[in-house]
Amino acid sequence: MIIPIRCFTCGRPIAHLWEKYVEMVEEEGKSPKEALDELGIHRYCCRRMFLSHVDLLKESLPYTPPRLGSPR
Amino acid sequence: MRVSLYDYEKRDVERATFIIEDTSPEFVNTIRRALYTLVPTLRIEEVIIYENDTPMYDEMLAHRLGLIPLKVDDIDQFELPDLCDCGGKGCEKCQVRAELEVEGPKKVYAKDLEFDHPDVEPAFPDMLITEVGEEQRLRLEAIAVPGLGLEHAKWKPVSAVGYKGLPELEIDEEKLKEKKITYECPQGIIKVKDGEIVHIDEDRLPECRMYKEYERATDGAIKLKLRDDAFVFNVETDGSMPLEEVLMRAFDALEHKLKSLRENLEEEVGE
Repeated sequence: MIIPIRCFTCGRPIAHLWEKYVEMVEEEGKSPKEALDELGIHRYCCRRMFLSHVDLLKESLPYTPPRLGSPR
Repeated sequence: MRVSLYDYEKRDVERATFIIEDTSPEFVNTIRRALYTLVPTLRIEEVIIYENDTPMYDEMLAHRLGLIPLKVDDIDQFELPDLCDCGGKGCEKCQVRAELEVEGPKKVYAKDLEFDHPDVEPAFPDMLITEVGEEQRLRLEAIAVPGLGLEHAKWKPVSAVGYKGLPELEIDEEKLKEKKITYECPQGIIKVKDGEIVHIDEDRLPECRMYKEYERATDGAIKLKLRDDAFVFNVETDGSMPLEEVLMRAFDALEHKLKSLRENLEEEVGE
């Protein structure tokens, strides 16, 4: 769906780091390890949140019909 | 009881490691639990959704909003709803309102929340809440309430807090020489070659995570014991409060509990 606000296990806030992480990996060509170390994500519970995340919200955006009764 | 700072790091969140000596596991655990449950913070508790055309369900949106850490200049200006004069109905002393109105296509960040109190803001303005597509609208009202981690984990001011015994080395040099043991720890703290100790990094011992491995790999010649009167204590905030303030508030809360117990007992015995 979209990156969770906090790590499921320890509760560290992570949602503000996702876009930086994507930029580092996709544009600056860093490996996920380097990017995560640079962002200060030490524990493996928080690291897996990034490594295993698939951003699907964007894909479903155009297919969402307007809600019934929403004034438009 | 003595305490020394072993490691400190400040990035988006603050993280510190202390070494606490001359204490007991019970006491260190009390500190940990006080950090989790007794420090009040402000979090979004109620969300009124007027329009939501995004693919994200209302419930999920409300859940995400609740988990956002909020920063307050001085949390003492608010009162816990249960203890407030209004009796928990909600007044300006125990509530802060926020509004969010977004028209797509746009990404929605925590900074788009407009709080009606000047001292309240999201700890991380760049937090991604959701995304609004073309011709979609999102309009909602959120109510933030002060609370304790005792009630729900979102009110915790810290993420991971933990402790372990301070590691202590026990080396049997005769056995080491006799068996010509060669071993190097993956963390680079200990290196032994042909029964000779090449290198031991005593200063980094509190970081050691491989202590079971030492004993197995060196046939019991090097043992790492975890002390039960000294501890390595780890704290990390979630950005809603400075680390120092979290610790001081936890100690104050413990002190307050003991004081009220003492006063109560004095009254009982004094009769």
